[in-house]
Amino acid sequence: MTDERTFTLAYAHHYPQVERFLRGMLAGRGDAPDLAQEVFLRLHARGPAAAGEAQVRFWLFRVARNLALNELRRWTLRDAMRPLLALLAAPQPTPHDALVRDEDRRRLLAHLAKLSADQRAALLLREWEEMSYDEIAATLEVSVAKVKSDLFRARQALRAAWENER
Amino acid sequence: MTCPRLEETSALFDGALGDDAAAAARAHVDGCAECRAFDAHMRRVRDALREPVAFAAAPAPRALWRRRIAIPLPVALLLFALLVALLLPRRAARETGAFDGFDAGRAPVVVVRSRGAR
Ligand SMILES: [Zn+2]
Repeated sequence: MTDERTFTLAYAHHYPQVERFLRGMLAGRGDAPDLAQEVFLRLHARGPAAAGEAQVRFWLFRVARNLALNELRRWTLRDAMRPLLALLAAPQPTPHDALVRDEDRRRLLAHLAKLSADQRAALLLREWEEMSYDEIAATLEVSVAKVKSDLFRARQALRAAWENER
Repeated sequence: MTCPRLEETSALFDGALGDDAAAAARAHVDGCAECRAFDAHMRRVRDALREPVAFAAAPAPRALWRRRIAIPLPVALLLFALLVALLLPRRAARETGAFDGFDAGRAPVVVVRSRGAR
């Protein structure tokens, strides 16, 4: 068992980011909090720091990515759009000025859902976790060249989708 | 039409280029309208993603990391059928006055949770 103190610290420190990453990866499909718990259950069950403390973060996001991929395989495209709408309908107090940004956000989320999972994972780790290319590559267990190309393609795809709507 | 150095511009945006490569890339972006537009697009995506309300990180639930019990639907139906089979005879017995130990307030509750069904 992972020593409890290390686990508690990792949980407090990384849970919010892991859950957010999962929400982005699932883009409205599946249950992000449930998967996030699964990630930490696995951390808890895994032996003591097999990888060093510094590696825990990468390990967490790698497991989260893998769980998200499994979850996504269970969803058909048709299913994907339905909860996405529900997710977007989550009420938020929106001052008039925020309406435009809401619209941008809604479209961005819809477009994120259309990226390949690899592209989405790279983009979210880059923009949310502010990981370097080396760190993203280590986390996702891919080459740095693939990270570079996935990020570029993700941005290109988002631009194409964004501009198609205008 | 499409600048062949767009991917480099993307890497520059991420601070992923070495000093020399970054200087060269920056010089190119300054002179290339397409790369400047792409840079602006990347910035817009970053801003939208990082907007606090959009994808705010939820606080860690306190001690919630234990697994919620999830019963697959078929198993839940079986359990329910079993429960009915067990309780019905007792209820029938009570109605005939032959049995009076049944406490309705203690009826077991089965929570059904079906993954991905929402
Ligand atoms: Zn260019």
